[in-house]
Amino acid sequence: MRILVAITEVATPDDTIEFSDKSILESNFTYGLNEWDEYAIEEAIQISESNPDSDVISVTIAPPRAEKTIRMALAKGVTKAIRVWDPQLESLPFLDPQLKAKIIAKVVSIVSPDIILTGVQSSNDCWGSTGVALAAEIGFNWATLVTDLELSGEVAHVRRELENGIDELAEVTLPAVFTIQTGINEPRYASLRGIKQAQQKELEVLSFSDLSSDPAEFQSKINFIEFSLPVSNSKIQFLEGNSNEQAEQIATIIKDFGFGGG
Amino acid sequence: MSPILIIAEHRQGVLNTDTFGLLNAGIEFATTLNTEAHVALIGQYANNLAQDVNIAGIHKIHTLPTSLPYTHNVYSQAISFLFSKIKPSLILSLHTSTGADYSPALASTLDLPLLSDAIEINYTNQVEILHEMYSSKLHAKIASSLPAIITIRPGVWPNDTTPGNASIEPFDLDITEESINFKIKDYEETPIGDVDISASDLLLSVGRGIGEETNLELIFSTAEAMGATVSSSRPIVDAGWLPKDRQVGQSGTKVSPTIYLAIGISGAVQHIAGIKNSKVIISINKDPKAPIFDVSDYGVVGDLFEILPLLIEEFS
Repeated sequence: MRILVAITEVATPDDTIEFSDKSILESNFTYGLNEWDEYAIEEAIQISESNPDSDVISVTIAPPRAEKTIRMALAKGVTKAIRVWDPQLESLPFLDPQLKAKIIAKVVSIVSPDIILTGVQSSNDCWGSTGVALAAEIGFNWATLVTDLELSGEVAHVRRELENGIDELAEVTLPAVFTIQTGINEPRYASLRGIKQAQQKELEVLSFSDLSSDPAEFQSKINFIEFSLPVSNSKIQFLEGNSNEQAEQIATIIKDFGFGGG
Repeated sequence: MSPILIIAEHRQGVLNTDTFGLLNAGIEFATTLNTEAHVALIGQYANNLAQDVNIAGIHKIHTLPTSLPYTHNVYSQAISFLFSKIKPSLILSLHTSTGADYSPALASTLDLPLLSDAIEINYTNQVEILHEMYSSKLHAKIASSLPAIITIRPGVWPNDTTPGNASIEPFDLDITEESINFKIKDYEETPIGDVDISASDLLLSVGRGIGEETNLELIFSTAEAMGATVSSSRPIVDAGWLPKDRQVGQSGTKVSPTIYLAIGISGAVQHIAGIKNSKVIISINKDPKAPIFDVSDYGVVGDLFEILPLLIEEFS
């Protein structure tokens, strides 16, 4: 079985995000693997471990900077990684889900996976839409928000997490895309041996010309206008003083409402 | 301008109440465009729910009854069919486990731009939305031509409505079961264990800031001292440190205590959706920029490991 896992490198701002009109200043960011994708990778590796002759291929759309993060996925047990980047993408402040889906769809036609896993969303873009857009683009079936995944022949049995503590149990015909929710498994840490091996594993780099004879097809339908910082209409009162005084103030508020023997 | 098409959300015969916010978003945008707001009701209970969505500002309700339960296959086909019939300038859905399950596919099928998880919608020659990025720390304004598909964040637009007099227009849908490659077998509700966090008036809720499972002892001691019930944010349940029935948020339990004390919780969108009905929110977090402070009444920027032991003393 061949499993494609679509993963994203995300940036965590160390402080207030600085940005110009059209781009985010990347200097005060810490980069790493998107949290949801950690679970998608683990799920892919677990499936490959219980199905003989399986491989797990990862695909990431990112500049060269992301290779350190991609190597972490290889260290955890991904067999081979693909990184797609193109000068055409340099000028975009972010990638929208339809454009991502279009690009990954081309990789799918090269890799020919049986199933595709990806995180429910990325913590940077927060679209929560790429997995479904990809499935539609390549004609796969799909299940979103998956918290349990069992493959059985031509179908997959999934548990989907809906709102308000309700789970949906469903059956999806393969091939399919699954968007993986956090908590589905316990993502492993890379072993020292894994980290060493990762350096030897293949990390293929593809540009748009490798994916299509017509790179113009990778045009976004979305126009970016501008970034702004959220305007807070918060009425918060920060409790000042040393820890003792802060604890006392919290206790007073709680007791004033009649709790804690107040 | 052709109408706005709003896709009502319902499951097992019950309308998702956030649908009213969605209807209001659609009515608001239809007014901006000087066009009509239409609603689509798809599936098993389409006819029963028509009067529920008949609110002032809605011009037409299209019912597309089928004997099949919700699946994204049914919805995609039904909305594609309706798109070809009424040629709407905008399709509007909730960004939920349902709306986000079919909207991106529909955008692909109909070759339309997709604008996901909007918290604001405007129009200036093109449709513009505001979308939150980086855990609510940055807003991006993005736009596209019409027609387009937009999913909106539940709970952002007001839910209040007054009865309307929209006309109801039923359609016959021809969906074959063979085209359904996603089948729902069952629904399961998180069983309520020893504690019911939705019944507690004083919740002490713990998040990622607790660091390690063993530190939960400090949380339970603090809760015991003040007579609070312990709840948590998602990462604590994901890690298996507390059972799912303790999880507050969109996919867990929505709570409405008198006091919600958030300890080491940064305040993801999904978490905040579950605590909005608390009377008073008090937050302790070491990151002064944590989004939880935006919805809190009182905040302490500080180290929970320093403050909680002192708080225990205050109650003993």
